[in-house]
Amino acid sequence: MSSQLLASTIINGVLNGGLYGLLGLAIVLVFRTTAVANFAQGELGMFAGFILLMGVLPLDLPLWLSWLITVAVSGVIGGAVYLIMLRPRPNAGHLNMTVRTLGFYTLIYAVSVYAWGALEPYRVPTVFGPETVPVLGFSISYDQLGTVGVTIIMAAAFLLFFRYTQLGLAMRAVAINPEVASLQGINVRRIALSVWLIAGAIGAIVGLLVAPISFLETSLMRPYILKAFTAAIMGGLYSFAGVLVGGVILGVAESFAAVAISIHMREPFVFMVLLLVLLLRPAGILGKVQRGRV
Amino acid sequence: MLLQAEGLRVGYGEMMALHGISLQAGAGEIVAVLGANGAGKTTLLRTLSGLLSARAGRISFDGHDVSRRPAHQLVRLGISHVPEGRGVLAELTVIENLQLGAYARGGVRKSGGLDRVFELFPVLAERRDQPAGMLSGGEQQMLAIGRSLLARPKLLMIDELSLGLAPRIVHQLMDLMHTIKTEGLSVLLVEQNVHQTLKVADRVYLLVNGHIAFQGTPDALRAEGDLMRTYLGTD
Amino acid sequence: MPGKTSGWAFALIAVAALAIAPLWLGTYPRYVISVWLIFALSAVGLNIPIGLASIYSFGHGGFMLIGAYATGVATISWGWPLLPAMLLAVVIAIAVGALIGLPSLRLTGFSLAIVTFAFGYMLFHVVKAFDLTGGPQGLFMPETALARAWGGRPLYYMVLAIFVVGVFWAHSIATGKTGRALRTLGTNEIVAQSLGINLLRAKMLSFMLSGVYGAVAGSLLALVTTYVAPETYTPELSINMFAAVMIGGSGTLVGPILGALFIVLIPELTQSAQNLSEIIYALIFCLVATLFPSGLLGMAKSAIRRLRPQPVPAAVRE
Ligand SMILES: Nc1ncnc2c1ncn2[C@@H]1O[C@H](COP(=O)(O)OP(=O)(O)OP(=O)(O)O)[C@@H](O)[C@H]1O
Ligand SMILES: [Mg+2]
Repeated sequence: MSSQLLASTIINGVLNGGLYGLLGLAIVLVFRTTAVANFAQGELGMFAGFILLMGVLPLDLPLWLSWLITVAVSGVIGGAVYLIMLRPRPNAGHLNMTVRTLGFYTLIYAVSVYAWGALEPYRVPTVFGPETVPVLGFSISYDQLGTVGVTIIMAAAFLLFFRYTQLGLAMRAVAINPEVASLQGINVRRIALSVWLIAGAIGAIVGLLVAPISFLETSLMRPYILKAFTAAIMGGLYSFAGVLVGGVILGVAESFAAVAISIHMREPFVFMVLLLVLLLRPAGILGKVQRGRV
Repeated sequence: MLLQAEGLRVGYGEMMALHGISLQAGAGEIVAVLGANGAGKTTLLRTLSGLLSARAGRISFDGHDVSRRPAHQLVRLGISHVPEGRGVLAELTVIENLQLGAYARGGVRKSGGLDRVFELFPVLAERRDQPAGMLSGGEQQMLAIGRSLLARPKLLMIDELSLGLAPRIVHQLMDLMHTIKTEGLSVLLVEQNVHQTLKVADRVYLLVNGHIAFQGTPDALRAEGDLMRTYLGTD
Repeated sequence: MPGKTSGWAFALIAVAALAIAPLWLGTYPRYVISVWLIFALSAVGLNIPIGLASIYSFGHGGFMLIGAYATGVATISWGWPLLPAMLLAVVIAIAVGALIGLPSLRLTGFSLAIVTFAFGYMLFHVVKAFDLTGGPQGLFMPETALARAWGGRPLYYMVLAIFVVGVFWAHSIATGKTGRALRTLGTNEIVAQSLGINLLRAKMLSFMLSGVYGAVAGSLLALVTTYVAPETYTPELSINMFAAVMIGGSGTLVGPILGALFIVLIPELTQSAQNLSEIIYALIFCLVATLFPSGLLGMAKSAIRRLRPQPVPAAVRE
């Protein structure tokens, strides 16, 4: 393997892996606080790409502002999903709740295909600019650099938020024991709503990072959701740091599999990584004890 | 009366656990609820703190009708409940557990009172950054009580204060209940440890199969030899 | 539901109706009914892990893929007759079902769900990668004698016959020893263990049984649609199958059949609404899942029950 190829393989892997990790964070957060496996997490990102392209860009605002607006709108969508689809009949059980997210996944996809067509690629402008920079003798695009940068900032913000803020602490308490949390004066339902807002926003950020690199189309996030779940499991469905590390390991591993074995083996390879982790480290790569809720 | 419950009927599915319970607690009073396993003590506390809904009856607290209020609102009104099993969040550190206690009061800094909790329970200060799951049973009970105090309650409800604790610790915690009381707080104690409880309580309710079989002073209960023997297993 | 006399009578009438209807029906309605019966068969099998044992299985489309591709490859590339080809499909599905069930004791429900999802996802990508399985285009099935003779009715009757056998077998599983074991472990694994139920064997069995149903359904689908394409067996198929069971009413016999009707019929019925059909399907999907957690069957039952007054259950305060 040439060093050029090696470098680009690693960069691609880290870049994608970071995105799996981010999406995985949202999945773990939602799962821990509301006991729902959110299958629609990826589609929220795809939808955000179209919101940006179709709804916000025509307003002719600065690109960064359009970005922020899109992220906010997507957060609101996440909150609305919780209020409309998960609030009613709250005692229905995890299985039913998960089916509801599947329903929303189907809905958001159907709406997108109706509005923007299946398999129709759209070009989304990048906030980072089209240039490339040489780093240690390799050329890296601003897009790649920016994506990695945003991923790192988001991950750091996420970890700090949960470690040092009252709201983050309350969310952790709800995740561990909702009843004890409510006895401390925490409004568990409001926390769940905030969690879904965050999930919507994270979905949008990932979608907006992916869309300019590949073309935006309705199945944009399909390859991401399973990998995000895998990253979540690598974090033992608990440790945020574990999810991020897991995502990066997964991204780099599949990137190497694609180059070294065959591009077709990239997706099946993820399955192998998943099985390996589950069999060798069922509590996650950084985990000690399994605390699954389901 | 600070707390006044009338005719509470509570059930799980088809089964009724409380058949019309009325209970009162005044300001600065220690009220104890005694009863055998399965008598309905936990159900009563969970109803009072808003975790369960009564099918009939009224609860008023500090002048508000709180029959339909959810738990997290009752904390703000001044009811704090140490649940059965203490409800310490083992994965969080001691200080994080305490911060949660002050959540309803806008955080420990705003709430104040952290120094006081550390003064009451110096061991918590020593272990403030350790995961709460590493504490001993007695220390966890102290953490749970400290956390509740940080919510600055008017009424502190504790489910099984003495369960699984060494006599020395039980003594210390019962003394603490007395101290708290002299500061004007009310305490509602659910207990199976009859002797210790009768020493500190001002008034006692005896719960039998979801009914109140006795209410009155500890001395009056002690005089009811039959009740003591039959339902509390003491002589 | 069979079990009461009225249930048996209902089942008999339904089968009789399905048996005489094609004498008058044209090719297209017959085709739609066949597809429904195939999906219903598949859903009835998926109900075994989901409805009985409360195990999430998000990879059922993978079993259908195995059925379709094994049948396709064996008949086209190796020139096997149909029956041995279908048998091969079933054997592979049983083996794969056992493999998926193998780690089930070590995994939480969530992790196992992701494993099953990943399994379906992986197969979808694998068949696209190999020439043997026709790559991204897939395989065209040769027209069988079953489809040629008498306007294709023999194929229809074969589907119906297998469906009926499958439903009765599922019924006897659900009401028999296996069903009791699965339901017990679905409610409480510790109790199940104390009753001497071998958890690993029971869980593996539930995947193997659902695999048999999925593979047979996939085989039949290949025959009826005469086409084995990767795009039919996407991860969305697994999701739709799961939805069919949950929307119809899991844990019941009729529920999955109703649910299959839902996922097959709604898109067909709303086709006149052009591209809106997918949206209408998704909306109904969301509505049923949110408002009727126990599915269409539960919804019907609660409508009946509402005629009688009910005691208020203990509830957590809003
Ligand atoms: N979640 C529940 N579901 C169904 N029944 C319950 C539930 N919790 C308690 N019960 C029943 O309600 C009755 C009262 O139980 P409760 O826990 O209130 O009693 P207790 O006096 O606190 O007992 P203990 O001393 O064992 O803690 C018992 O018969 C119990 O079996
Ligand atoms: Mg109790």
